[in-house]
Amino acid sequence: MGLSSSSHSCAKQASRAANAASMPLLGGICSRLHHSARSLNLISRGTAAAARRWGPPSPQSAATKHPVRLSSGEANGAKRVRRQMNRPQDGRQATDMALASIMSVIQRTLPRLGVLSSSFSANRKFSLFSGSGSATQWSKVVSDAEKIVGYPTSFMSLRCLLSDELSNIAMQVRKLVGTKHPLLNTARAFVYDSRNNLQMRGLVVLLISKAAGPSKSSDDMFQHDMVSGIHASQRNLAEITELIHTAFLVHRGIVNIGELKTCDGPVKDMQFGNKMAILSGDFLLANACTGLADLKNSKVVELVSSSIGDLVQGIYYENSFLPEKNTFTDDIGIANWMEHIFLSHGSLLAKSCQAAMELAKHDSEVQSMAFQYGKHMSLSYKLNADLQPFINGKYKGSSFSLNSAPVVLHQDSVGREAWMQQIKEAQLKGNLIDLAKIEEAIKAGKGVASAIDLCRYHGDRALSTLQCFPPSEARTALENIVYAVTRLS
Amino acid sequence: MVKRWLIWCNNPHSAVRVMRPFFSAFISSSYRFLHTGTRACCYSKTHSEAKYKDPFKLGSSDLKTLYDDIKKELFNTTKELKDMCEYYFDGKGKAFRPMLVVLMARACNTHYNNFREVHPAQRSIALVAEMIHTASLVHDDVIDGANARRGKQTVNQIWGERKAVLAGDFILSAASVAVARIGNAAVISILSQVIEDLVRGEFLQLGSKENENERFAHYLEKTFKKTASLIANSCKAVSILACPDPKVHEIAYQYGKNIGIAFQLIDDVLDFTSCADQLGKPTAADLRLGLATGPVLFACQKFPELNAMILRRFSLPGDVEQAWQYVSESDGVRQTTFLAQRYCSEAIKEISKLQPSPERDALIQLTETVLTRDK
Repeated sequence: MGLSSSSHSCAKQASRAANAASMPLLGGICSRLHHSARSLNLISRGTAAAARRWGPPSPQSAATKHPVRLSSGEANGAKRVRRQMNRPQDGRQATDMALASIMSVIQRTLPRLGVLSSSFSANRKFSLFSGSGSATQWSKVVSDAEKIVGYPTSFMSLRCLLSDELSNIAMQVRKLVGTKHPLLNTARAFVYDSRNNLQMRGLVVLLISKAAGPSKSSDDMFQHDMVSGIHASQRNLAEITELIHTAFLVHRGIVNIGELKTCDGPVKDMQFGNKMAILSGDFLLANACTGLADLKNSKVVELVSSSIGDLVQGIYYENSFLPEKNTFTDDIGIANWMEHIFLSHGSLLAKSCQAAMELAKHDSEVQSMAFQYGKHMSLSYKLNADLQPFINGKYKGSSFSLNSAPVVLHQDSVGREAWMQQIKEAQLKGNLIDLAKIEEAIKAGKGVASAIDLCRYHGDRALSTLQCFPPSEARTALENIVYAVTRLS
Repeated sequence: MVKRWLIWCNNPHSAVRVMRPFFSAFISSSYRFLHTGTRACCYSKTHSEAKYKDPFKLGSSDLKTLYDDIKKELFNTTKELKDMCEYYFDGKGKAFRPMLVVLMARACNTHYNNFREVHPAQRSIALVAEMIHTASLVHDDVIDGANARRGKQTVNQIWGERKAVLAGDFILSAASVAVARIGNAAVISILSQVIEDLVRGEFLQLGSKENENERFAHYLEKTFKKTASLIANSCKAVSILACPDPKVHEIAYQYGKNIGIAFQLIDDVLDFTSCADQLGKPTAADLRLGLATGPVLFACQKFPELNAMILRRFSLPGDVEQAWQYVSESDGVRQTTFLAQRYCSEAIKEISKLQPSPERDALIQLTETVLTRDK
């Protein structure tokens, strides 16, 4: 596979550099590289098998009773898996399924930057941009960017994924197959849902590290550990960012036991799913913590730790807008909305970008610019995602969050009373709301246009921060990411 | 599985040796044991303790504003999240860890340059230790589906599991920020180790070993990771902030490790001997969770029938009651207490290597408190 050969050659390159400089540090990295290259090879074979089993969803399987989507690929394999689906309680056969879902977790956190893309991008669709010409555009932006940052990042994630703890989880999670616990969906989403799938945050951290280059103040010795213009510590930081993001994807999927309905299946399953979700999330967070500590820079530890706190607060706000809560009556206002979204969707990337600059000893001016890029890019990205149901034909009639940007902006523009009236008109029996009706009302108003403006505004702000870096292919890649995110047609 | 438990075999009081029944022969009569194994409820303190000066007094001046300071670290703008995070910092906890940490700080400072006060950075460690402990409690309660702790409802019981997990994450992040602000790379690395140990300990709890000897080592390793690592490493962290001598760091770590394991062993004993009112949580909770702790593992020697129950994690109806019965008819509680006592003497041996100071003596005294506590 391309992946192992590329990391091998990088390892060799680094190994030569280490011999030349006889630096123990580099030697350590090299042995890590060699080791990881072997494990990567191993894993990539595994993931290829998993990919065969877990390829793109076929329509008929999506409609099956069990929330499992299957590949229409290998006929025999598919038949086998379909049999398993009908009998998820069958322990031995369920193991295969569980392994496949675990492989998907592994695949997700795998260093897919530039590595798995060769084997996976063909199957990978970016739902965020699919249905329009920008899908291919986005893939191109990403794959170009991946090439720029050189060899894959997530060696640490690999180490933690190959650990006893996660194999333990793999053994346990099979019990969840056939239940409705969200952990299973999260694991599945790592394969299907590209919005979660893409290690966008890690990629941006690497690109901005490369765009900023070595700082003027740093000495030559310090620059020796750079590979493809990126310090080893910055690569570790990129992985930590992804670890934290993944941990919270998992922790977001905890179920409130007290609110379960009978249709959700046995309480015991849900309790077990919660247990697995907490443990795996905590495990990823603990790895992020030790990884941060290894960076030996207390400012970076403080920055990234505080972004974990931000993330919690952001998710907290996000949860208070869950559809079942019926909080559509809340008058939040776009300013508060932006603040909440920064916490849940922007802070981690903004602070990681800043931390990457701190690791290369860049001054506070550059650090602030990197922070601003991360912040505005994330906000623009989130606005784009929120806009999709309103501007993309493919999403017609699909559900959208009443806490998404166009809805909030619509509310701001028509005023509270008119909005409450519209909600009232769309109200069906019980507490249900006719989303299609609301969608029409929003499309008739200014909400969508304002959201597009806002998306572009933040895109422009992100672009302007990049001016502090010298022109380079990494800077161009960061610009292209913004262009792809703000293209809304 | 990595056989990390091997470290225990280097310990003179290793699991394997302790497992040998001959130990029960020389249980010293000078120690009051918590229980004789009957299911008597509400054990009351005797007055023999009164002769010990309360070791908690010495450190209390440093901890007056402990909970207020923790609340400052937990600052956030969401009322409900704030309430959740502050829920266990109500001043009703024992604050055992912060107390131990400040006493250790003063003992090390005195040892190094006769400075008896606590440095601000060392005091931060006391806060952080309590915060990490609380964050892990919040997550553990969700994992175990617990509904009562310290005599009140658990966070997950009141606010639901989703929010409880987030609250735990928030406390942990606040603790990490506080550690980072101390600005010492060694301290950051030591405390990140604690977080990793806590998670790994939780994973160890998921599995059990078939082999009896391995099972005991597994239990002790889990005990170290889930309880003692936090105490040992916070002790080490304050010693690093006190002086540059690695010998002192090792003394602090060893003391913390040994008293930490003893602390948890007694906790496991109390699960059998104390009544629900005293503990603030239901008794035999461990058995109900499918966990075989010290008393059960010791009882196994007399009642091999327990083996099958341990392997099926007391999952059949009547298992919990039957296991309880076996434990009370065996020497399990006494032997576990004795083991805890051995760990405490090891802790005393370690801490006695420091220069004498009232705080050092208080730390020695603290081991007694650990052994005789009833909640």
